[in-house]
Amino acid sequence: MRKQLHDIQLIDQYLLKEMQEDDQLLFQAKMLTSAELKENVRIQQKTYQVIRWLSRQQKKSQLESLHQSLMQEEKFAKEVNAIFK
Amino acid sequence: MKQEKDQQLIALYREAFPKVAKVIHRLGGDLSTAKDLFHDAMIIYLEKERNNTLNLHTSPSNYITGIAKILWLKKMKADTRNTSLGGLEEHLSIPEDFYPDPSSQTERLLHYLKAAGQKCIQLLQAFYYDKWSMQQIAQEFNYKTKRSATVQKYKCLEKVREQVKHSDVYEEAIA
Repeated sequence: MRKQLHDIQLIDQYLLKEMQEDDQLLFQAKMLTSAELKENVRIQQKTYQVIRWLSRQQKKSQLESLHQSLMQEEKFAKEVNAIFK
Repeated sequence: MKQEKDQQLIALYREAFPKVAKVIHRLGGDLSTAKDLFHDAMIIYLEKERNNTLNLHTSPSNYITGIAKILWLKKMKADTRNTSLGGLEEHLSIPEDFYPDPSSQTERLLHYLKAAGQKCIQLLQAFYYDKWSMQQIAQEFNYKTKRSATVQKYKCLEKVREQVKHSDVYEEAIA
C-alpha cells in the first residue's frame, strides 16, 4: 500500500480502537509532535460523522416511503388520522 | 434474510407509529411532527440494535415511544427532568452527533457526496454504518478477496476524506 493509504489505515485502527495498547501510546505520542497527523485524525473522524449523517438521511427517506405506502392502507390511515382529529 | 428484516421493520412501524402519534398529539404536536420524530426515533433504535448497545427493558415500541418523547422535549427545549418518562430515560441516550450541524457548508458537502462516487459511499456506509464485516463487503461488492476490499475501503476513505477536508477548510475561511 502507498504511504498515505497506510497512514489512513493507522488512523482508522486508532479511531476504531483496534490498536494494541503499545501501538496506541506510540500513536498518541506521534500526534503530540505532528500537527499534520493530529489534523488528519480530526478530519478522518469528521469523515465518519459525515458518513453517518448520509446514512441517516437515506434511512429517513426510506422510512418516508414506507409511511406513504402504509397510509395507502385504509385501516392504518384511519387509525392514524383518528388520533389527530 | 433481508426480506425478513424488512417485514420486521414494517411490523414494528405498524405497532409503534400509532403509539408515538398519540403521545406527540397529546403534547401538542401535529401529524407531520409526529412522523418526523418517529422516524428519528426508529433510526436511533435500529442503530443501537446494530451496535449491540440496545439495553432493552421494555418492548421495542415502548422504547421507540420513549425516544420520540425525549426528541420532542429536546425540540421544545423543555426541561426533561420534570417530565416523567417512567424511569425509561436512563436507558435512552441519544447519539450526540445525531443531527448534522446546520451549516450550509455541511448541507452542500452531503449533497455533493450523495451525487459523487456512489460506490465508494456505499462501501463506506456498509462498513461504518451498517457494520458489515469486510468479508461480507467483499462478497456484496464483488471483490475477489477480503484484502482487496480492505484496500478499496482505504482508497474510498482517502477520496471522501479529501472532500471533507476541502469543505472544512472552506468553512473556516468564511467563518
